[in-house]
Amino acid sequence: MTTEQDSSKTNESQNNPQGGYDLDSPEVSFSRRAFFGGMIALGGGLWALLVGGTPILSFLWPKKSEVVTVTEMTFEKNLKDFPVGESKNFMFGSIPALLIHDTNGKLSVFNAKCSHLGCTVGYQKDKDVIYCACHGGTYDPNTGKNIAGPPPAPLKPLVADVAADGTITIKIA
Amino acid sequence: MSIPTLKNLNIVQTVVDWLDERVPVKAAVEFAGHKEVPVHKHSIWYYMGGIAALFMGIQFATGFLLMFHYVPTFEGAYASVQAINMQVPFGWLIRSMHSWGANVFILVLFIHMFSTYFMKAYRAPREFTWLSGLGLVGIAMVFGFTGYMLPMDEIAYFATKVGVDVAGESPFIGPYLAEFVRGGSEIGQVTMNRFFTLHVIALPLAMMGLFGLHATLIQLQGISEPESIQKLPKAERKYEKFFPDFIKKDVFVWFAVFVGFMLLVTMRPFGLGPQVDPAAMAPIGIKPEWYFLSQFQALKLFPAKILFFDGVHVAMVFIGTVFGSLAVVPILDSTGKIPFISKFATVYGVIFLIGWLFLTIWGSL
Repeated sequence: MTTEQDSSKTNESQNNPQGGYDLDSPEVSFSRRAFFGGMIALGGGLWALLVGGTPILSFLWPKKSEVVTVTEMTFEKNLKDFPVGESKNFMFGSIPALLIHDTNGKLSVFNAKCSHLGCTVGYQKDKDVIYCACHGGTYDPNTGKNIAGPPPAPLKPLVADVAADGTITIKIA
Repeated sequence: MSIPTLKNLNIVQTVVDWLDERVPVKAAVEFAGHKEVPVHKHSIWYYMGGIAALFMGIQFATGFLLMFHYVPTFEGAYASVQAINMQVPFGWLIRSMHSWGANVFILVLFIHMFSTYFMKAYRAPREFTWLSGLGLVGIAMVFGFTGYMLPMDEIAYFATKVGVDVAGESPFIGPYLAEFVRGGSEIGQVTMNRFFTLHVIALPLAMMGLFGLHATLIQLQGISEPESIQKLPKAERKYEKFFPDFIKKDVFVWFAVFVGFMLLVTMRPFGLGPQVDPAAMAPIGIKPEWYFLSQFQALKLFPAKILFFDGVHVAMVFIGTVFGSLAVVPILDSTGKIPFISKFATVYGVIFLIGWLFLTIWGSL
């Protein structure tokens, strides 16, 4: 083996003083074969990945799900039973929501999913803020604006309508 | 093999000979007999890998048992874990062993990882041993994360929510990844199926495969000696036989650790938090398990915006780079011949360890 290699090296340097490759030498034709072999293996591998991977990935891919299953719902309490300073976490379809009867007497309602990493936020009456316990994000309870901590965006608003009899209806904004 | 006559029949020898013709037992015993373990003042760290393997075994055994009573449904999981804790005979013990075991396993893995790092056992030709070990730590963390969700108590729900949303903040593929992991836009039964399948099928197989590689490499390459010992003249270096000398001590250490572990498991049975209410606010003071506290604290510290970037993206890149560096720095130092890099690797390790401890303790406060 060693002698063969040595002799072909000598041949190569003799044939090609610039140090390039001599395409006709047996060594190069072997490389060409290796190259095509490699390409076939690579192509075959990719093909197998595609043929095997497509059904497996499609099988595992989640079905399209609706984010909000409801567009409107009646809140469980009447305005009479929901005084200023009161708040309530509840499910609005599949999303957690937060209704606050804020200090201005206004009803504020938000999608309670923190804009940072998706924990459910809640109202802290003593500090008059909306707070996320996971990473300390803080929001304004009147506007839902992010005011401290890591959240990059305000809370998404929902709408609360109050009928003459005090029935509260929650709607998507 | 000659047929033994009644007179010279030695049953053990006959069985061994019979077996050896089919399976190379004698070669294996001889191999184990030749293997030597260095004896020096840092030898104690050599037991960590074995202890980690012991806890891997405990996790497999107790996990297997828990599956006979656990119900992997979004509605039923909490009740089934509660039943395991309160009604099933010795259920509390098996569950406590599994939950505590996960924590101790990861702790031992960290000690094993840092001790091999500082002894520079990752150097050539052991780069793959290091990388496979790092892979095992990674798998153990994913085990922890997926196992965390299964009891469906408060912390399970919010830890999963945050963990998946963190994945969702990865560049480019993030939203697809989060959707894929969750199996939809919200955490539900589909998420549970995915986590359960990963936890009981995919991760155990991956761990066994990678552990097989890790252990084989250690057998093939022998046990690494720290630089300070390698420098000693041959006459001053001491060794003991792996089989039976080291194994005897190893078994003793396992026994002692196991007794300590059972004390913890029985004196402080692992509890179960309140059942999750997806509508309720995340409870004040909620925290992940200790091994995710450093990342948790880092996520808290990054502000909403850093220049033009969302803070959480910068935090992700930061956390990813820091943990990824554990794969890169040892490879840079693999020859051990460049004094600057060698020194850098040591200093980097110290900074990493102090930073990690600092954030972990801060996160726990």
